[in-house]
Amino acid sequence: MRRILIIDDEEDIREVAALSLETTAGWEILTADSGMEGIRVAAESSPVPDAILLDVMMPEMDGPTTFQRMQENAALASIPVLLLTAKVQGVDQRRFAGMGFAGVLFKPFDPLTLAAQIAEKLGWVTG
Amino acid sequence: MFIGLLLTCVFLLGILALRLAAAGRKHQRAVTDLDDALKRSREDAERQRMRMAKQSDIDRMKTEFVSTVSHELRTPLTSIRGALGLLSSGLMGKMDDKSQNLLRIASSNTERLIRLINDILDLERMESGAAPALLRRCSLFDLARESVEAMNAVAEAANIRLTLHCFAAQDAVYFSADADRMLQVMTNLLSNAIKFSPAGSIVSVQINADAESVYLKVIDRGRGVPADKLESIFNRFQQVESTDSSKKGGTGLGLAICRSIVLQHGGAIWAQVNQSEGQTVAGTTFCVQFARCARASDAVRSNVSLEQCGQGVILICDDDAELRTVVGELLRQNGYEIVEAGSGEEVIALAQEQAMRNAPVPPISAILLDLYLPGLSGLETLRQLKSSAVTEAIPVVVVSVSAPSERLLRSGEAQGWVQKPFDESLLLAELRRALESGPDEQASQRPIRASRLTV
Repeated sequence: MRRILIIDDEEDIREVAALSLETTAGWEILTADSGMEGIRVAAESSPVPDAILLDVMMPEMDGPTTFQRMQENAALASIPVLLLTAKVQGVDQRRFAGMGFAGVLFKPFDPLTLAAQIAEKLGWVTG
Repeated sequence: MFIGLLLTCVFLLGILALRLAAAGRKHQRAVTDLDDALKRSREDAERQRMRMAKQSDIDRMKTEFVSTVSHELRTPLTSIRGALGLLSSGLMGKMDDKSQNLLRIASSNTERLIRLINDILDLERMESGAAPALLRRCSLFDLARESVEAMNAVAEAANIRLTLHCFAAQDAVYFSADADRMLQVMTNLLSNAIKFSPAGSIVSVQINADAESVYLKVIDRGRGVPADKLESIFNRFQQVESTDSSKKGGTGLGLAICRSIVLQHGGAIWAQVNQSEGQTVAGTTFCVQFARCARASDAVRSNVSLEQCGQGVILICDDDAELRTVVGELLRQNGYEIVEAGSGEEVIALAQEQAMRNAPVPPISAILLDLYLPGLSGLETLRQLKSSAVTEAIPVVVVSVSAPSERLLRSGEAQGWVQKPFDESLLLAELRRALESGPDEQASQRPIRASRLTV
């Protein structure tokens, strides 16, 4: 069973995403409301999460900065990270591609296919 | 007698000196006048640059505003879509029919709202130029085939059959386009055709071409757009019947986006009522037309403007880096590639290098040359270009604050002239003319017509 960490400053989005993945794929979900909190939860999780959903726009520390901090932590650097962004159009995607993310997911996401989208981007065959 | 001679010489010398002084003053005035004219021209050019910069500032702020707003709207919509999607799927538990129906309504309208936000942002970015098209040579037939394949599932679900026919030779349907945008147009047109077609009918896609253009037609046999609405349906938020938005799930922006993309490509889009043997029959045909792309190997020069085919590499020479950037951007948006040079020496070097095998510079199609250059003057640069066998054949369009020189145009040293401050379309037209007529035509056979903005 997969363990996913969701980092997003919006409580409702964390709840809905968690419910979606639990209900449609039966995955175990951890959540955090900020970059710093997310790093702490990921580091303390045993085993570490199989993947991280990371919101881009967060106050204090944004998604890309959080990702960079994670890369500096040996235990966390190998966890695949998917960005969650509401900016569907624009050049942001090109910026992210070079940074080492496993993929980008767009908000608003379809709650019925979110798990499948994640699995597809990470090359997971079964949930 | 000797004294007389001496006095005469002194007298003549005096006259000469006075004449020289007068000529000197006249010369001085002419130089001052030229100086003033040059300064005025430079000020005009500067004002035009500032006007253009201000307009693009406003456009950028508008696009940023629309972008920020749509981003903000998407955040609460994420929670709404998530919650409603899960509830209406039945995964959270069965509900009575009435409640289930309410959830279905809420969920489907959330989807519609999301599509609307995407379309609005799309349209705004395209129309403000924030999303420049990436042009390359495309086959209209290949693109049509791709979009038909993509829409097959949707068509099947609606019990509609999609057909595709190409009535021209497959290598004759090339045009300059941004492939992703074209697919967006075709998907939109097909989606509309399927939506408004009765079950069991056929939606036909036809490709055609003539000497100058390529054509795409999407033909449906549905209830048809009334003749008086054939133009207005391309406007924003226009639906033929007011219930169409909710029943058909459209955003009302699909055709406006199609039109925006087509116009961005210099093409045309229109709708016509279906006719068979002079009689109006069911359905509507949506037509799209683009200029055909001439192939590099075509021996016959076509009327198609080369600028749309992305086959020209233009060398821009001006010591003003900002102007090079502005002109470069204009040319890129019209399908050209750009090489920049800041001095006459650079131009000569680049122009000569490009003729070499394994050249670091691609073959240059034309040169835009400013006359007022540091170091080697524009005129001297021009002379050197035209006296070297390697570079003499490259058409040169002079872009300068000076008025056109008939002498240079007649002698064939310059193939075109644009006076600053210039109108963008005039520059493009002059460049196109220089490229199309080619350097081998006698300059004296063409009427002298240089382009400038009349102020």
